[in-house]
Amino acid sequence: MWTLGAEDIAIIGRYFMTGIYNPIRTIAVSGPPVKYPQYYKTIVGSEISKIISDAGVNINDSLRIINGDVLTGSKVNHDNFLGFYNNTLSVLREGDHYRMFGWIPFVNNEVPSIYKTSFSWLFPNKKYDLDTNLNGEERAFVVTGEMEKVFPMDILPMQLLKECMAGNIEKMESLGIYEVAPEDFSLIDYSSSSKIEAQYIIRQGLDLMISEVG
Amino acid sequence: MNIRNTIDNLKKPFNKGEKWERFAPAFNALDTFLFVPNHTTKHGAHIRDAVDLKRTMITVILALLPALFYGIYNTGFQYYSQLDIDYTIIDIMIHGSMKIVPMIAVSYIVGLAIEFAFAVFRGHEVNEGYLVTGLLIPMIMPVDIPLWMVGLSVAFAVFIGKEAFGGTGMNILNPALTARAFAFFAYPTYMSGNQVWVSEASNPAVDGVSGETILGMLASGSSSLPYQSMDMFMGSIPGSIAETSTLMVLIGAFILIYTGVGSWRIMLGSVIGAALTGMLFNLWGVNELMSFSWMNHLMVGGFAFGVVFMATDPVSAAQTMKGKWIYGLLVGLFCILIRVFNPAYPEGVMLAILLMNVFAPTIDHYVIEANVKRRLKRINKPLINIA
Repeated sequence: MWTLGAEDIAIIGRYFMTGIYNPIRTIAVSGPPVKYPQYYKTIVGSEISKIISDAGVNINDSLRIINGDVLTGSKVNHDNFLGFYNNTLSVLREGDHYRMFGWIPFVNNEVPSIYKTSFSWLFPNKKYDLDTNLNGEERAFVVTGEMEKVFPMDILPMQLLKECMAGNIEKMESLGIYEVAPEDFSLIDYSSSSKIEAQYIIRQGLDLMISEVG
Repeated sequence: MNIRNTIDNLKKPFNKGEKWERFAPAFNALDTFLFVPNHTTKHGAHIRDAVDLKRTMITVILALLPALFYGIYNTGFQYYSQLDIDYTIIDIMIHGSMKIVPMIAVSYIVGLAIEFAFAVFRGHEVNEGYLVTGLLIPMIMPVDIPLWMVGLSVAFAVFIGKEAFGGTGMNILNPALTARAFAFFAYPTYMSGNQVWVSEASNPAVDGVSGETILGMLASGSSSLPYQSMDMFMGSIPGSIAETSTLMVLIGAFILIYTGVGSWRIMLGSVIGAALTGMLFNLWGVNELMSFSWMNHLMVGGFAFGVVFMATDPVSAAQTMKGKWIYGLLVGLFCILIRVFNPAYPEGVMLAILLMNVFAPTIDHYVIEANVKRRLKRINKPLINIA
C-alpha cells in the first residue's frame, strides 16, 4: 500500500498546471538543541546537516537526529538526506552520561516523569531538556496497571505483548494484534518502568502474523 | 568524577571478551546501584520516563519503614512492659534492634547471594525484586526465630518460590509468604503457639512473659481480652515483628497509593471482602472468634500488613484491572474464613494470600476471555444485522 502526503498532491497538481516539477517540502525542525525551531521550506532529498545547521544546531555535538517525532521516529545520521516521507526532524542530545543515585524517588526532577514518584508532575508547563538516556535498564514485566493508563484502546496491552514475545498466533489474534500498529504502543515504550521495547515487540509480532497467516 | 573513573577501571575485567565476563551481572548490580547507567535508547521511543524498577522498589521500602521502626519499638515494648523492671525508650529500641537487625542482615545476605548466583548462571542482569522481599521476610517472622531458620526459609523462597519459575516477574507465589509458609510448616513449634510472639517468651530463663496473640486467645475461647481497639490500631499488641500496627501500615498504604506503586483496587477489595465476611460472622455469632467485631478483625493478625504489602505484589496478584477487584475480595473473604473456622491457624492472612496467588492466573484468564468475547461481538455486529 502506497501513501501520499498532502504536499505531494500539491506537487502533482502544480506539475499538471504549470509543467514544472517542484518537490518542495515544508518540514518542522525542533528539539532542545535547536536554536531556531520553526518550519523550513526545502526540497525532497536535501542534505540533513545543511538544514539543521541552518536551524542553529552545532553538528559537532553528540546529537541524535530523528526522522519523525521522538516517540515513533527513526534515527538518521547528519550526512543522510531528507527522505520522501520526512515531515519533521527532531534533534535530541545523546544521553550517554551517568546520574549518581538517580533512581532514588523525588530526585533529579529535571528528568520528566509521568509518575508520582518524581515531583515533575508539579510543573506541567515546564520545558524539559530531554535526552536519549534509557534511565534504567531493561527488566522483566513487574508493575501491572501502568500500561493500561497510557493505552487508549479496549485491548489488554501487557497480555498482547507477552503473547507476541511467545509467538502464540491464536492468542495474538484474539487479543487484537490486527487492530494495533507499533506507534499505538509508543507511550508504553516511553512510560514503562521495566523499559520494555513495546514498539519493537509489536513490530515483530505483526511481521510474524504476515509471514504465518499471509 | 573520581568515583565514576574508579568504577570504570574496576569494571575492565568484566567487560565483553575479558577474563571475568560471566561475572559481569554481579558487578553491574553494584554499578547500577550507585549510578543510573549511560545506556541510550536503541529501538522504539527515543525518550524514556525517569521511572525504573529500582525507583519503584525503593518506594515500597520507604512505605515499609514506618512499620519496621514501629516493629523495633514494639518488640522491645512488649518485652519490657511484661517484666517488673524500669526501662527507658532507649532500652526498648536497643532490645528491638538487637533482635531484628541480624534477621534483616541474614535475609539480605542469603537472598542476594542466591540472586547474584542465578544472574551469573543465567547470564542476565540482577533484577531488583529481592530488595523488597528481603525486607518483608524478617518483618513477618516471629521475633525469637533462630537465624539459621530465617536463612533456610529465605533460601527456599528464592530458590523454589522465585528462581525455579524464572526469576523476578515470573513467580506465581509471593516470595516473602513462601518463606513464612516454609518456616511455618517445617518448624511449627517456633512459628505458632502461645510463646513465640513476644521476645524471650519462649526462653525458660525469663519468667513472667507471655507470648499469646489476640487471635490465639480468641481461638482458645477466652472472651475477655486485655487489649482495647486503640491498642490494636496503634499496634502495641503481640504478633510478628512488624505487622502489628495498623496505623503504620496505613501510612505505608498512603505512600503506595499516592505514588501509584501499590494497587488501591486490591487493598480496597480486600477490606470490603473482609468487612462483609466479618459482619456475616458477627451475625452468626456461635463462638468467640465469630463474635469478634469485624472492625477489630481488620486490625489484628497482620491483616492490614498482608493486604497492603503482600497481596499487592504485582507479579503474584491478578494482573488485569477487573481481576484485581475479584482477587482482593476473595483475599479478604478467605482471610476471615480461615481465621474463624480453623483454630489451628489463627494466622489466616498468609494462607489466604497464597491461595489467591495460585488462583490469580485463573481470574486473569476469565477476565481476558471476557475481553476477547466483548471485542469479538463488536467486530461481528454487522454480520448479525445482515443475517
